[in-house]
Amino acid sequence: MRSLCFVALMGVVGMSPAFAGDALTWLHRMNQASRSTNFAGVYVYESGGRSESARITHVTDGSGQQERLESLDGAQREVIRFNDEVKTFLPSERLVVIDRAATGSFPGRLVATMGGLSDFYVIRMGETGKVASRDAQAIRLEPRDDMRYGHELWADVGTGLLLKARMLKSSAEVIEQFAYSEIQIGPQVDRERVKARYSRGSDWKVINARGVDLRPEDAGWAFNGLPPGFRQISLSRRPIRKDAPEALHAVFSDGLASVSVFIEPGGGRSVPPTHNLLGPVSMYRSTRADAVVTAVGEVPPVALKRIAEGVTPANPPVAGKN
Amino acid sequence: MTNERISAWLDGELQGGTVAADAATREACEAWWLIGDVMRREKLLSPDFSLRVMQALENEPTVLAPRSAPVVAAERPAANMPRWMPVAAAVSGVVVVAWAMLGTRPDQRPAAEVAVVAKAAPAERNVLALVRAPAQQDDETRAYLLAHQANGRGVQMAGVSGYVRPVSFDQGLVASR
Repeated sequence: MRSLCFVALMGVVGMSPAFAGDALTWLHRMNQASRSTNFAGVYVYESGGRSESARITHVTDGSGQQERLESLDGAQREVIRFNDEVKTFLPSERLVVIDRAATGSFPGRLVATMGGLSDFYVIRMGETGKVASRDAQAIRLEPRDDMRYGHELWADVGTGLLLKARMLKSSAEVIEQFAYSEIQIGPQVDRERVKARYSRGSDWKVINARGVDLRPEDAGWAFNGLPPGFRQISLSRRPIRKDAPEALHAVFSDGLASVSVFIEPGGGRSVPPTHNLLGPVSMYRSTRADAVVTAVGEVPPVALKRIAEGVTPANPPVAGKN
Repeated sequence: MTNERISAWLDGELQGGTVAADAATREACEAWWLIGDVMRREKLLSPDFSLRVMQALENEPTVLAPRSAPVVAAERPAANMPRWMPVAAAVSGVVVVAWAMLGTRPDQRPAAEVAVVAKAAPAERNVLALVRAPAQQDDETRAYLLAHQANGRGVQMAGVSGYVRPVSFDQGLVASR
């Protein structure tokens, strides 16, 4: 009898998750909806007093996920994603850049579980309101340390789709914001709209920036002292700059923010430690064992420095070799 | 000692310091950046730039835009957006940032830096950090951003791709294969 009561009690507890549990459920829904929902809309991106709007269409069907993004102002740009392949068309430069999206089977690609996120962020339910005329529920993620920024995410109440996202330095300082101004969600989204508007003419230049995947043990470099929660999610050797040797490109993420580390042969040159702030993204660069290490990511500069300075040669050092 | 202080300042380890109020240190800072300029073959900023910035701080929070950036100067930050960005230094108080404007069309790209000035409590007015990423560095910088954005993700768990962030690219940024 006692055990029966216990089971019944557990059932009740299970049906009424804790407050943070609700917020985690919303994050799950958002994650799911971004992959399984068809949508088309116009969003406005703002950072540092600048804004740019773009049209985005996302369709999921038997062949996978297709996405098309077209800038409506600012630099002319069209991005076509088909599963993990991303093509960026730059019509004014007659240039197509082919790259890979962050999906795949790299060990540990499944970064953090939603529960793991709460080790590094305080996750709370936020207010409700309207975004793009739809009912939205806000979820707040406040960093538990100074190694990451905070986030506010508004999900569509009906479908779970992310409608608005803010990255914050503090509760009052918004670093960047992304929000739909209009959106259509559901199967009625016209599949024709994910087709590329531009086709590559014979005078277009194609840049293949996909690079080659590497296993972590083949990097030749070790990444020590990563900020808590950051794990490696990809590793490749790829071209970065014109007329420069290929770079080793490692990506780290805590599940929300991501940091790229590029390791290039130094060729004897020494780069003084440099911090740059590029809107919401910071860059830190220094020399490590005759290699130039450049860390780029949407994290506070102190976290970038920590990641970059934790780069040490493994035995034998082979990074940067062509 | 001076170099150590600059280093500490850049690293965000100088808490509540008054780096820029110290004339010698300020000069050294400028020298540090000038060295960087030469190394990166950047356009030189007039040496008294930070002095002018500091004088401007005596006034109300201001957006400073050098003469050659009319388009950007015309864009006032939205009311709910910050007028400044955190920089290398976590120096409390006033922060001055000049950064390359990303995503601008080539014809609109500011030739000079844009300094955005904000200030905190009046008592902290003498605390100043100055970091800039001149426009001429953009090509190389954008190459890294492009690579980062395609592979990284913005709000990863929520499924937003990194490329929702605007970046303008220049020809020849990435090596052809």
